[in-house]
Amino acid sequence: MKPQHRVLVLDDDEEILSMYSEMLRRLPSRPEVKTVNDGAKAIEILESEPFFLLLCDLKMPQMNGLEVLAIVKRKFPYLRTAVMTALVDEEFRAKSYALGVDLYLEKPRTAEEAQVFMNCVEALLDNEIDLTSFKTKEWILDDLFLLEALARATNILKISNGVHNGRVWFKNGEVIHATMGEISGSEALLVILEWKRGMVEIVTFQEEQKRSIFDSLQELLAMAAQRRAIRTAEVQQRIEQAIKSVDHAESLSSKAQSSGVEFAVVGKSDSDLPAEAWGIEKPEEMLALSKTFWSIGNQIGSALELGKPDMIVCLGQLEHFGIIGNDARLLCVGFNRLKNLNDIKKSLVNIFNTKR
Amino acid sequence: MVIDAQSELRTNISGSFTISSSGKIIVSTLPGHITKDTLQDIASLVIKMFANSIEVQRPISEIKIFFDQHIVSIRPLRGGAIVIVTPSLKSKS
Repeated sequence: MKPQHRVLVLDDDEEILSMYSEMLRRLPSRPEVKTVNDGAKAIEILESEPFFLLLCDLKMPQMNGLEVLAIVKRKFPYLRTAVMTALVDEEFRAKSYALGVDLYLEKPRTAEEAQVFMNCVEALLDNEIDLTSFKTKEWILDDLFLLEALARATNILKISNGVHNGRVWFKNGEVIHATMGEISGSEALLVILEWKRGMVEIVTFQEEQKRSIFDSLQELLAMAAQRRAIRTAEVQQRIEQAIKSVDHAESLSSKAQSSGVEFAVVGKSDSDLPAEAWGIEKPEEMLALSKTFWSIGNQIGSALELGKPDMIVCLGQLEHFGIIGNDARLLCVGFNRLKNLNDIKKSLVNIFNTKR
Repeated sequence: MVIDAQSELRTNISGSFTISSSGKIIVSTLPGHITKDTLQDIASLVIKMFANSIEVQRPISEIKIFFDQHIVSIRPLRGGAIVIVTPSLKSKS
């Protein structure tokens, strides 16, 4: 017999709380439901009682949902979280997923939407998930460091990026020490922050650590951002020089270099090798993924009698990418995670149509 | 007339289905003409999409496939997924 899960529902509207409470209690897994109308109270309850899932509204007067989730995801990494909101906004959706939220649900307005909502929540309450996989996860480091500061955390972050490993010590939300290979202190932290992202494991702070970093986190983040910008500009310059040197008059880079575009790959139907690529280390790998996704999009369209896909957009926690194509060629473009869905669609069509 | 009614049904298809972490269909609200076998085939493809994206270290929190008159949204649910089919704005105009 499956254990009864406990669900905490946070919304400032008492009527909505009552309605969700009623709906959730009718789920097949019969969860125990508790409701709360204030973010600070929700955190207090989570600190004193175990819960499996937090359902959280985004728009609330005192502490908004994203603020609550930032603290909750940091303090209770094993707690599943779902956002339920009337705000149909891709930016909020991207921010929520970037915080590690399991599901972003729009508040149901019809019986059918209510059924979908219930299905999603029931699926989240599914017991089959291995919670140990939550221990290590990939983070955008700037975001994680700000969360640590916000939560006034005291712990060590073990960060790996490929073959490189670093450690960062936080005490009461202040970064006090860092090591990376042979280097330590602020320089080590700046090198780690230059990675931009990494797999992170959070471990307990066991022994007193001598302080070697005295700059504020904001200053260090700003310095790291500056270093990244300089490095990106240098890489960009080298790519442009290489492209010019082969006299690539109609280079993809000239079309793809717009705000928020991170990379682009063009493939042809008769070859597994990219016909053109810009801003990406392994273009052949991305082209293979795009071809697989495009083929699957066609198969899903055929199975549901929807026709052929116009485009596919994949929204990620760290970045987004879009795929557009026809029988002869396929274009995959990577976008900054702050780019919204409509802009991604427009950019894809624009780059595809002008790059023939 | 029967054919017209059916094609009308296809152009207004909407609903969702949920896939468990083992790749099985948990529940579907899609129209009855879409068989469980069809959904099972799609489920395998969906699981493959997420597996491939993780393989190349590009984890995805949502896939949106845009068709002429529909949008298929696929969201992962820690091992499984939910697939939502909705008519696009184009189809309503």
